[in-house]
Amino acid sequence: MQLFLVLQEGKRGVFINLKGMGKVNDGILCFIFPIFVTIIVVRLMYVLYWVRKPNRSLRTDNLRTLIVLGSGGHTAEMLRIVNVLQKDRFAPRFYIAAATDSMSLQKAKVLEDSLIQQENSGRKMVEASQFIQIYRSREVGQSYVTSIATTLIALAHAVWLTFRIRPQVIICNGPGTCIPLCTSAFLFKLVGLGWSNIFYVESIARVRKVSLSGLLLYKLLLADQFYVQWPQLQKKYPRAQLVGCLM
Amino acid sequence: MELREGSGLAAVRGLADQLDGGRKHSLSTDPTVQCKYSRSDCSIKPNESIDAVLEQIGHLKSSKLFERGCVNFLQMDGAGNGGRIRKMVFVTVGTTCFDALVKAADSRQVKEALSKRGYTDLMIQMGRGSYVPSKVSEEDEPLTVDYFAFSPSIADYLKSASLIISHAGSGSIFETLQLGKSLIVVVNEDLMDNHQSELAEELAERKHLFYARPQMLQQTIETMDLETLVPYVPGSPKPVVDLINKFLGFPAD
Repeated sequence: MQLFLVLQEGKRGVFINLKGMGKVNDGILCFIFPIFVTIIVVRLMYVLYWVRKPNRSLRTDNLRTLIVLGSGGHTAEMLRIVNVLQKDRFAPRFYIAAATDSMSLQKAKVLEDSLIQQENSGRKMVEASQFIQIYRSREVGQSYVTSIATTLIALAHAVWLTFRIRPQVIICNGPGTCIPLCTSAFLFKLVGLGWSNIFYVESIARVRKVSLSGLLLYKLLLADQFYVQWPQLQKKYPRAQLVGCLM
Repeated sequence: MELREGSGLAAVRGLADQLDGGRKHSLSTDPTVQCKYSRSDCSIKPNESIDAVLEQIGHLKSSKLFERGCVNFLQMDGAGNGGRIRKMVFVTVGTTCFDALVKAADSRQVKEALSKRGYTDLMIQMGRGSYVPSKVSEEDEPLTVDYFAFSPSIADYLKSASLIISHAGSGSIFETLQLGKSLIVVVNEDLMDNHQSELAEELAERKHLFYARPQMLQQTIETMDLETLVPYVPGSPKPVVDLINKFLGFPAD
């Protein structure tokens, strides 16, 4: 059986025509393609339904946690959260920062080293934390044309990292780095290759307007939980939860 | 011998011993208690006599004033005659390039305004900027001026300062507020996406800091009333963590 993808010029413009050889093939095509699309749509609806649904059963295991760091105040806020996280529940921890951000992973290492010193021997042994760099989707001031290419590269890298890390929990607070990672995690959910709960905490610097990352995650329903620190934002984005200032 | 903001008790005791001709003072031996005293509780004025200073320190040790306020620089000359307080202003631009602020801080008008308000030293952290301030020691100028580009941690400078003038980065702002320091935030108008100004405006409205544009820095310094600043109560990440745990189905702590 041979399939031809033909660009056919019709009255309403150019469209794609899948041409098969023979009637049997036409039948299969008319059958398989719509079914394929339906499966994707149903799966998407299933995922969007189950996203944001809290886990009703009591949990006792530990979860692989991905922590997204960013330049400026992002890392400081994120590490403040990590400091309070229960270290045995959220382990092993994977820290990701953009390749051009040298300080963030260092700060995370300092935090993790101080934890190792506090660790008592009674705890069960968990995998050590990892510190990973990811390609940046867009540098500050980069032209939007080249940004498309770099974003796709970043997305591909994110997919690879998501595959390697298999996170069950993702915590991020706004740097551009989190978009490819959250998108990739969502794609994995979509195809049934693993379920990660995405927690987005909008930065304390966002008082009246959410960041671009936040807006995308909110509108596209990618995050399981969307937290804001200022009441003005909670009024504007009703599906967000107010958690107060964390600094 | 000098005392500075956040000086330990050992340093204060050492200075008191020195001033008092060797008579030991019995101050608390707890090394974790930071030595501070509030400006309004025992005001040491410039050129105050040693007796008055000693009296203040004695007043300190008995009245448990070690929790509040800030210690100012206390400098004694060789003869032990009279004292001068040094008050430092720390200007920081973080990791950014903010020439407008550095220039404004280094300008004659701002330095005179600071001097009139009782400040004696100006330390500028200039970051990635290209404008270089001029190092100055006291004689003719209103203030001593010094500068540096970066430091792994500015915590010590923040702790020693009586007033901080900072760019609007959330890291600098909260590091300063958590130390209980007086803060003027200057927003960089050259930044394209100025989401930083939202935070500074909100905190200024809540009276946790003063908020100025670089051109208005002098006026802000001249007219600011530090007593109107409300101390910032640090927030907590616990609500976020509790919600995350609840969503994941972990039992409540």
